[in-house]
Order: sequence, then structure tokens, then C-alpha cells
Amino acid sequence: MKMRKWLIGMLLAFIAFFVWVPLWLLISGSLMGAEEMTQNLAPVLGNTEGTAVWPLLPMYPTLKPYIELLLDTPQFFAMFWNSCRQVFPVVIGQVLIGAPAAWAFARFHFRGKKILYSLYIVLMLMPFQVTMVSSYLVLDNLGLMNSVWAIILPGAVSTFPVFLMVRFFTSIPSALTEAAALDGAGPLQIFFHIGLPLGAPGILSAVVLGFLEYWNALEQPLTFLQDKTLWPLSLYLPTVTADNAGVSLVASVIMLVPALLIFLFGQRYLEAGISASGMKD
Amino acid sequence: MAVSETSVGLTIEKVNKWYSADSHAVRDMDLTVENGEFMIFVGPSGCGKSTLLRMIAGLETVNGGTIRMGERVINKVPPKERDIAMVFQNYALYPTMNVYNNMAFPLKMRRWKKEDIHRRVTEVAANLGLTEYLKRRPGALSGGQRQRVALGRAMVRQPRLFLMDEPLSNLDAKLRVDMRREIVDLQRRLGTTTIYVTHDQTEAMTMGTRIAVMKDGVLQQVDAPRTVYEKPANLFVAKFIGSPPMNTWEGEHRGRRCIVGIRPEYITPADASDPGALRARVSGVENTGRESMVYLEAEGLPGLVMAADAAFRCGPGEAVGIRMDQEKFLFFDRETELRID
Amino acid sequence: MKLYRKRSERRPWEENESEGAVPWLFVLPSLLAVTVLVLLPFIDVVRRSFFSAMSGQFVGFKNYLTVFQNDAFRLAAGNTAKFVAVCIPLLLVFSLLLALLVNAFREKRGVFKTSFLIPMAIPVASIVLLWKVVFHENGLFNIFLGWLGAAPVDWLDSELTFAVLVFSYLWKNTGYDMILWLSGITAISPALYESAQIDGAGALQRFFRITLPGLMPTLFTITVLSLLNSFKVFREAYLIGGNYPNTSIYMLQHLFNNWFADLDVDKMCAGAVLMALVVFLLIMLLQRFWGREAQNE
Repeated sequence: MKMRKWLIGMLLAFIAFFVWVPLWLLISGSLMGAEEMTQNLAPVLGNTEGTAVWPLLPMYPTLKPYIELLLDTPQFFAMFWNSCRQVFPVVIGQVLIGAPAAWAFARFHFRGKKILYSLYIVLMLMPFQVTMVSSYLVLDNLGLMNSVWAIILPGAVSTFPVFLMVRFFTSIPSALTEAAALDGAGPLQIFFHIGLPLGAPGILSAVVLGFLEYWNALEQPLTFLQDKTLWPLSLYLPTVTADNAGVSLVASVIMLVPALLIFLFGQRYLEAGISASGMKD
Repeated sequence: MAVSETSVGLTIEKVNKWYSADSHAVRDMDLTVENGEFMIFVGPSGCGKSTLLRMIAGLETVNGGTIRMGERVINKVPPKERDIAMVFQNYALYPTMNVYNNMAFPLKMRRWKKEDIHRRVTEVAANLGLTEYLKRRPGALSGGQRQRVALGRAMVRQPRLFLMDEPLSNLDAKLRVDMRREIVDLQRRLGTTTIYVTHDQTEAMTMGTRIAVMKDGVLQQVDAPRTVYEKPANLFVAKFIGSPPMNTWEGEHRGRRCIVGIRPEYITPADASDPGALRARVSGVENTGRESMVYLEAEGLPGLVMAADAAFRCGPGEAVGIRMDQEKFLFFDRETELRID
Repeated sequence: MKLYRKRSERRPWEENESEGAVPWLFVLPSLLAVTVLVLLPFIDVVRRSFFSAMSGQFVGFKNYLTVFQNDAFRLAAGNTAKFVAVCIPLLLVFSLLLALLVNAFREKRGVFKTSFLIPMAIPVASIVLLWKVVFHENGLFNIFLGWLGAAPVDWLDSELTFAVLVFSYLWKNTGYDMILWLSGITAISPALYESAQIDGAGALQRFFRITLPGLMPTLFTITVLSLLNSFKVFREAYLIGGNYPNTSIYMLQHLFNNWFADLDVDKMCAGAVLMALVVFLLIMLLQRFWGREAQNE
């Protein structure tokens, strides 16, 4: 029994290596000085002869790349700000628009509800390729192409968060909303006093999943934002060329930080959200 | 009995509820609940008692007939405007609010002033012995305390009607007996019309001023507990009310084939010398300490139960003499199952 | 997740319970936004797919024919289909194994769950530089292969790039699917295992008789969600290979982007409608096969 446990543990640890080693390399790499970096990675980035080296610990660890990025690269801040002002409105919009709709789907009976909800599920399953043309047509008509709204509007009306929140709202015992109704609460008060506090885990999981998704978004800005000054980090990073790979690594790490923080604080909700989307109804 | 000023009576006329063509939950219900009364709805699960209660609360739509509070027809009135307080089976306390806020919620919804809310909530909390728990969340309370909070939340405002849906079924046996008394006392003090749903016939017998027995969505009998017990309207009521249930068998009454019934307590042990005694064989004994339930087999009769004195000693397989109090026989029609006088 | 209910499941009295206009007030903001930003434009896309953008004339299925005859479309559709067909079974099996391992390992389970979920949080743009260094012809993976005696291979621009893409998809999505499987596993009543153990069923028998059938209802949703995520692998493909990567990883999204760059509305519209149809049919098909079992539960 003990032997078996030990084996499983080893196996899991081995698989976990595939996660931790890249993460470690990323962070240790960001502490390499420019010179060391060039030396190590030239065969890859500069296409010189020889093979690349990526030491587990940099020979001469330095914070210089960080300083360089944070002090000398104003466009990095612009891109970081671009990411923020695209991602946060999307997530906030998803909750503001989606939560009431999810509440209606979860707690009310109304004519056409099933058809409408099925439609929402179908929309949620459609890949970007399907919606990109239609989004483009609307955005173009509204004159919003090449503005942050081109990212925010289509993102905020995504139906996936609605689906997710429905799952959580449905699990609130109906006795609670009934009790509130008898206590004199109207539909809106029930939503605010019972639905939102008790559905908070669902809303949070939608926020966490939404943030990770849009922080990572590539397709939307790539198609809808021609103006490079509007590009978010996810699109800007790859354009950093070989000669400042060091800066690029640091930027990668810094871009990783918000996502990782949200992940670590919201892991509970993230897991709950993933599980909820898999539950059968 | 003092009747609260806000309290009203309830009239239910020809009320029907169906969930689908083949599931008729409540059928042609006619019932009047007097102002200030403690009315019990009792019946086996699925008899429609909870559905009826929920229709009164406005949580289910009424498919036919009318429900009136006082003079007003409330069929289409939304729950929040009915001014009804309800205690749910699982208490339905708001888990994100502490005890104080749970109890203050109905008053906040009615836009009471903060000071008034505070005064009222602390008063009711003191009344129910909840003062020291006001800051706690429901999750940190015991079952009995939660039950009190649920009662408190119903009591803070003077509703026109109290509804209780099996409020004691989640409590352990000891606590259930205590709370039973407490609810009856409260109701008497407040004088508010109360409808109490239960499947437990002890609660039905001990708590209400009247009980309404239901089966398959149909009202069987409404009467004072004693009357229901002694003069059940039909065989179902006779067997449902009373524990252990009434003994019944096919017999004869005034030359007519019918069903004969007698309650276990009217069967008594008899001396061997008693000429009217029936011979029976003991098949099992359950001694509760206060009394003995003796299971008997007698010639020509199905299994009988006798509620004897705890002092009565016998063992399985023994032969005993018993005596039935003929005065206490009840007779039921074989077809309609209605009681024959 | 259920797209439709069988007629027999519909409850006729539900209409009785409708609460007037109130529910609509809650749905309205979302419904309005979805209609204006998604539904109406999509209907317009369907309409446009039958017209020529240049002349505005009705052209029937000509746009669809053009798309079908387009070599790039065939390549991209083929690659995307191949990717889905390879990745999803791999992902399902691998994540299930991982879920079973994590489930069997009681202590420190949280650490492993976190470990396997982290890739989900790592932006593709952050990690892709590392993948480039690993899979470059002069990169780390080839060094490792060199130790084993294999000749170096250009992983980033050859037929093998497809494998790199599969790897990065698995790397990112295994944790997500593992959580889905785990929630399916925990939904199986432990009493079933206990009674099977008392009846003398071995570990393998318990897996095939209890765990696997118990997970069937989860399978449908996991497959659909994995499919949904598989379309996002374009991010890795784009960051590795840019707009015109090695033909082995030229995906539908690349094609759409290139059409978009040329503002080739005809092809885009027909392509989008086709894509929507395929995804919809695929999901309906999956639901027919597996969803039904979930309904019988």
C-alpha cells in the first residue's frame, strides 16, 4: 500500500515537473543579464551555430532587465495599460449584463426561456472564427473598429459567463428566495439580497475565468486593432525581437504576474467554476 | 383566546391544483380557518398539504377556486403583498446574514426606521433567548437555535397569518417536544391565525385547535383533535390518526357487513375467569416503559394491538385473555369507508 | 449542458407559473446586447454569404463553392479537423489518468491540483518564447534528443510543428479537464465503491464497472468544452509561426485572418456559416451519442 502511494506520488511529481520547470526557467531567465542571455540563446534567437543553453540558475543574476523594462520602455506601460483597459471592462461588463440574465434563466419561468437559453449555449460554443465576421460588420457600422470598444463590446456580451452563473444561481435553495418574497422583498430586492451574495462564488468564478481568457486574448486584438498603439501585452510581447530577448522575458514575467495572482487568489472559484460548467443538469 | 389585531381568518373555496393532467395535487378544497385559530394540515407525504400551504403563501399558482384572507381574494396577490410570515422546513435562514440581519430583513423590506427595527429585533430576540447569538451567522448555530431564529424572523412583524411547513422535522426527538410546547405558547400569546403543516400525528393531536386531515389532495375531515380521534369521518382518518393505529377487521353491525375498528387502548387484558374474554396468543411485545404494546393473534381476527399497562407481563407465544370495550367499537361502510353511526 | 429537452420532459404547467414581465427585465440588457452585437449581424452574415459583396447580386451557393475549392481552406480545414481529432482523445485520456492519480493520492492533493492548473493561468505570450527556445533546431529538446543519439530536428518549421502544437495544447488544457473529471469522480457515491469492495470487486473491476460508467455523463460536457478550447490553440500557432506558419499548423483562424486582411467578405461569410454549421452539427451529434446516456441517469 505504502509502495503504491509512493509510486503515485512520484508519478504526479514527475508530471508536475513539466509545469514547474518551464515556470522556473521563465523566472530565472528573466534574471539573466543581457550579455549572458545573448550568449546562451544566440543559437536560437540569432541563428548562430551551436546549441542553446538555459541554466537553471543564471550565472550572474541581475535585476537589470527589470530596471531596463520598467524605466526605459515606456511603450511597455502603454501596452500594459491597454491590456488593463480592455480586460477589466470586458469582465465587469460580463458580470453587469450577464448576472441579471443568469438570474432570470436560473430562477424564473417565462415563455421562450428554454429556446433562449439553448441559443445562449450554442453561442457560447461558437469559436471566434464564426463570430468574428459578424462582430466586424457591427463594429465597422458603429465606427468602433480600431478602438478599445472593438474588444470590449463583443467580449462583454459573451454568453459563457451567463451559462456559468446560471449553474451557481440554480443551486441556491428555492426556500430562500421564497422566504424573502414572503418577507416582503420584490424581485429586484431578492436578486440583490439573496441572489448576489449567495451567487458570489459563481460571479467570482466567471470573473476569474473571464480575466484569464481575455488577459490572454489574441484573436480579437489581432483582427480588430490595426493601430499598434492600442495593442495589449498579449499581442505586443511576440513583436519584441531577438536583440532584446531579455526585456521580452521580463515582460513575459510581468504579464504573467497579474494572471498568476488572480489564479492563486481565485483558485477556489476557478475550480468551482470549471466543475460547475461540467455538471449535468 | 386573544386574537391579534392584524390577524385575519382564511377561506378556501373549491381550490384546485394540478401539475399535469395526471397529477392532481389538491382537489376541490373547501376549508375555513377562523381568525386566531391554530389549524393543522396533516396527512401522509404527497397528500397535498404542503401544496395547499404554498398556495396560501402565494408560492404556487391556484388553478381553480378562490382563497380569501378576510374578505379579500388573494389568488393573484404576489407573496410580498400578502403580509404572511412563513417558517420553512429547513428554516431558510439567509446564510450570508447574521441572526440580527435575518430577523431585521422583513422589517427592512417594509422600510421600517433603523431605530424601530433595532428595538423590535432585540425585543423578539430577548423573547426567544437569542440575544447572545445576534452577531452569529446561521451556520454557527445549532438546529434548535436556527429554529428559533426562523420563528423570530416570522414574529418580528405582526403578520396577518403564520404558515409553518413541518418546522420541527429536522430537530431531534427531545428538542421537538420542547419546541412543540413553545410554538403553541407563542401562538397563544400572539393570537395570530396559524396554519401548521405536519405529517406527524402527535404534533397534529397536541398542537392545533383543529386539524384538517388530507389524503391524495382531498380533505377527509376537519375537526378538533379529540373529535377526529374519537369520531373519525372515515377509515383512512381512523387509521392515520392514533399510534399505534386502530385495529380493524371485517365484521357485522346491526346485521350489516361492515368494517369494525377499535383503538388499542380499548383492548384490555382479562382474567381467565372472565366469561366474555377472548382467547389470544401473544406474538410480540414492545414495552415503552410507560405502557406495553402487545401484538396478538386471535381466532377469526387479523393481528391486533393492545395498549396495556406497563405492569402487564407476558411473553411471545403465551396465551392471554383479552377484553374489548364494545362501547368503543367504530363501524365503517365497506364500500365508501365512511363511519356509520 | 443540454441543448434541447425532449418533448416528454417539458412540463406543461410551467407556463402557468410565468411571472409576467419581471423575468424579461432581467434578461433584457443581455438579450438586447446579444441581439444587436451577435444575432442580427450573424443573420446578416448568413444573408451576405449568398450575395456577392462587390456587385450586391444574389449568387446562390457560389461563395460556398469558392470556399470549398480554395486550397488554403482545404488545408486549414484539414489541419483543424486533424488537430481536433488528435488532441481531444489524447487530452481526454491523459487528463482522466491524471484525475485518477490525483484522486488516489489523498495528501497534498491541493499542491498537485494547483500545479496542473497553473498553465491555464499562464498567458500564451509569456510562455511561447520558452517553447521557441525548447523546440528550436538548436534548442533544448534537441540537446536532450542528442543525448539519446537522435539527430536534431527543426520542430518549429516542419511537419513536426504539429506535434509541438499538440504538446502546447495538452500542456495548457490538461488541468482544466482534470478538474472536470475530478468533479465527475467525486459525484460518484462512495457507497458504490464500498459495496463493490465487499462484493469482492478488484481495483480494475471497480474502475470499469463503477468509475467509467459513472463518468459517462461527464464525458459529453468535457468533450464539448475541450472542443471549444481546441479552437483557441491558434494563439500558440500564431505566436510560434506568425501569419504564415508551417503548413502543418495552418489553421482555420489563420485563413480567416488572411481573408480578413484582404477584406474578402464573401469568403469570410460563407466560411463563418460553414464553421457554425459544423460546430453545431458536431455538438448535436455528440449529444445524440453521449448526451442521451446523461439524460437517462
